[in-house]
Amino acid sequence: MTKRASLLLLITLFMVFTAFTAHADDWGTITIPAGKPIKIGLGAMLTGDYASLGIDIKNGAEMAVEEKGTLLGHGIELQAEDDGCAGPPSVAIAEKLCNDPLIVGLVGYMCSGGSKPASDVHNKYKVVMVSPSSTALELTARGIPVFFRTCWNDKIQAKRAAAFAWSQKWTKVAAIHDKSDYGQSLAEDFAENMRAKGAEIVAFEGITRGDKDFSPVLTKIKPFRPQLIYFGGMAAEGVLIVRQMKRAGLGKAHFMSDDGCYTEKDFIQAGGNAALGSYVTYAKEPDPVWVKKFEAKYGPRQTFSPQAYDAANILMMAVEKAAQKKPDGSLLIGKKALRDAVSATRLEGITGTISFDKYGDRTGSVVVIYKVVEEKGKRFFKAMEF
Amino acid sequence: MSYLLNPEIIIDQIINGLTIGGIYALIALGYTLVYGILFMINFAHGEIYMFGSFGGFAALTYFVNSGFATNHPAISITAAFLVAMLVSSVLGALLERIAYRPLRKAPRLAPLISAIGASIFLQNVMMLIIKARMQVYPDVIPEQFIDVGSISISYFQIFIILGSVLLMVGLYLFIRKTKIGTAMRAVAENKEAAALMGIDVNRIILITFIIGSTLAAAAGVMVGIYYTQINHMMGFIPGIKAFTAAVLGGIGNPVGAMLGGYFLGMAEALGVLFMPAEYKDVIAFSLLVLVLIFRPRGILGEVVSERA
Repeated sequence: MTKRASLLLLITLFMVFTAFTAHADDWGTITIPAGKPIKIGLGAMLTGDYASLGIDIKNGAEMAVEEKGTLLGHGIELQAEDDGCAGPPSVAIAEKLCNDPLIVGLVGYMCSGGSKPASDVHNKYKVVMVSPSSTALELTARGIPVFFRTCWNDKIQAKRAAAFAWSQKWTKVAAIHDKSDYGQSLAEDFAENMRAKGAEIVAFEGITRGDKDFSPVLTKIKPFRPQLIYFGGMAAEGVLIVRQMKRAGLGKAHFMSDDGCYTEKDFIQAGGNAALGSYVTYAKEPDPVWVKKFEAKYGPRQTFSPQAYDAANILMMAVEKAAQKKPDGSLLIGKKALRDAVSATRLEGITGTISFDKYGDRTGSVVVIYKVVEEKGKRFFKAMEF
Repeated sequence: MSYLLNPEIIIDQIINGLTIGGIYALIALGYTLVYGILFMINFAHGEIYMFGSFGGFAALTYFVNSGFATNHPAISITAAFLVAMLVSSVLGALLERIAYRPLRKAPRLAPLISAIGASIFLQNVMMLIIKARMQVYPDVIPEQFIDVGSISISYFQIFIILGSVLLMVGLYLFIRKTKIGTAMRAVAENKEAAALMGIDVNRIILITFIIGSTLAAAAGVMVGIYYTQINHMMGFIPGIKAFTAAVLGGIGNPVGAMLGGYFLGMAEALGVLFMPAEYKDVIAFSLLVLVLIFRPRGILGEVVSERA
């Protein structure tokens, strides 16, 4: 073989090799060296007004990770970060975690306003994310291939809530929202649905997250005598609206809100007598066996821990499916292969059967209407037959 | 719009405005009293209010858990107010002693920065204590309402409105009629001359901080009972609003601070009738800008300039 021919062979071999590895994954690969843990990120509000929700999410994911123990011979580490339920901190966490070579994917972010900008960062680095709680409509309408969620799309929440309100013959409705990506779009969608049915939206007002005094806006709504006040937002503000409705002379109006208010601690307990008779929408109750196990460990569950538990399991299943184990014990995980594995998920989760449509939305979500009731001295969310 | 201008709604909003206005006024007094004497803005005042609220919360929670509150609700609430005032006074006095007194002769910016530092420090201390979780005041007394025609007023609202007025009248009489009050006015007018007259200036400054803190603590417990949710950041917005109120009324002037507080509360409550409710906070700060353009020293500001 001449020198030239051997060089040519070398070049060809090199090209074939690079072509082969490039073909292995268009988005690049994650390498987990032997002896290093596989890291799963988590973004949720761990301090601040909605911390009960965020800590609940963290507990759910943590439980899944601990139950799993090891993955393909590697330990699993959950790295939880405080996403502040807002855009800027979520983006900062996204940049940090997506650049961590051991991170395979992320459970989060908690709020739609955080997930929206953070999903752009995840898309840049092609790191898959599964949110347990970001429900805003637009998140799956932006063509982000790495975004998935184990909660629903608010489109069906608004529709179902409106159908219930209409069935109760509440035709004069006021809607309030917290100006967030989540609350505002939900309230708008709800109002739209009600209008389409023929109801009258007598008022549509925004409030500020973190504010405590909503009596001026409630007094403003009062002369329209709404039969229902619908609130798109979180429990911290929702529970204050419920408490202040009676003060403002809206004691006869019904109150209905969303999954952000489905929390025993921040809504039922914090609301006292005022919260009785309120309606919220939330998913089907999760597997009672799981709930028992969870509550034995972490105390009463709040809202999205089951969805977070399922989300963490989906990520770990996808890693098992997409990872290639090398003889030295290290793992090679193609980013696109991992994303495709998440996308092809078929899981009998504790929140029901989970699979995703091509937009990343969960298929077949069920919206249940709950009412806050007191039975035998205990206050809880009771599923309504509807 | 016209349907919003019926008398019933206006009266409702006036009651709302008086309630929140009283709270603003109580906090604003703390800013103004300190400014009147030291010419510095105590930016940690919002945190003194926050700590007062938590003091009351701790006491009330203790009484509820021990069952004492079910039999003696009135005593429990009174005790909660006293505990809150004690916590805030001690904190106010400590702040003055540690963060401000060493800087009394320093350039004016130094105590201001010290105040901002103290404010951030106190927020973080409380954040660590409560692990950054929202806390909820226990319900000691079920809320009741008085119905006058179609207007219903909560007992809590009446309690806050009357309570804040009483405290303010008390403060006014204290400043005008007592020996310490006279000394406070003398120190505000001229520290050196007051010292020559045999007034212990440091003691009067300490007392001023304690009085301001006591009023803030009362506001903190009222807010806790009325709005129920408290957290470590609760002092920030009311602090800024009350500061606005103090400036509106003419900073350094106690009557101005009371006036400014009510003016701001009223403007917020009535303002939402004319514009979307999400602009509530915009109203407060636009008003501040407007007043400062036409009356740079605030509504009652002239008196201050003469005094200073």
